[in-house]
Amino acid sequence: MEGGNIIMVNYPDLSNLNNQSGIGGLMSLPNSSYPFFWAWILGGIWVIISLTMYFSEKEKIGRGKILSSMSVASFVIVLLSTIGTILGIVSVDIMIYILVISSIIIGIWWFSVK
Amino acid sequence: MSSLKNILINMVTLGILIFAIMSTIIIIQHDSNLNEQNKIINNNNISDSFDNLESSLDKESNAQSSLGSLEEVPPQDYIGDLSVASMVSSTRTGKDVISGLWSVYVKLPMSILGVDSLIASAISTILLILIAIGIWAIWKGAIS
Repeated sequence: MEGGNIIMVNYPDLSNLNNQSGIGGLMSLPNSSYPFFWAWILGGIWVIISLTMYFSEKEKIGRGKILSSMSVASFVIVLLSTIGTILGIVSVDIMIYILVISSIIIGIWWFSVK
Repeated sequence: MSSLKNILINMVTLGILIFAIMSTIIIIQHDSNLNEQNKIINNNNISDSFDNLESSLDKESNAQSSLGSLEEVPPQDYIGDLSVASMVSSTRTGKDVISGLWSVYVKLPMSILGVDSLIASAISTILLILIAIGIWAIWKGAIS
């Protein structure tokens, strides 16, 4: 249970690994011990991209806009999560969570731009 | 404070942006031969808002049928019928765009974030009343 909703996740085990499983089967292996493994990895990537862009902008221009950096990072995370669903490492329910949260961040940024 | 025109333009462009993102995701998932259960379009929250809108915005079949009926009907007959039909179609598309945006911005986050249906209904009602009051205030010139 997460936020009142039941999240369907994949629980692969070692039986899914064979010579046909490929990189997707290997990467989805951590989901067997913790279903939100790749969700947290994507969250970490989002934080890294946001802060990197923010401090880079601050260093170049002198001032940065954290909301702008967060929204651009959200675009990247939505794309990465889409690739994750294709590889089978991100479930569609987590993907929708990512899409909704990213849409909210992008929407706030969009309305804050003059 | 932003003017109403800027707010409306921002809403429309943001809606187009969000639908472009969703369309990109759906096309990528479709082209990569993903399982049906893993496609985002098969989720109830998405399909309720997006699928109807996608079918409504798909004007290729409508245009083809309109072309066929236009070629079959003599020019002196049913001209009024054709114009009314096209007006109704565009009105329906406009209604679907608004309801689709409402679903994406309000219904989908509430459903995903686990907001109770009673609270969601109350928030929706308050929002709708505020929109109605806002339109009335603009109409009366209280807000520029």
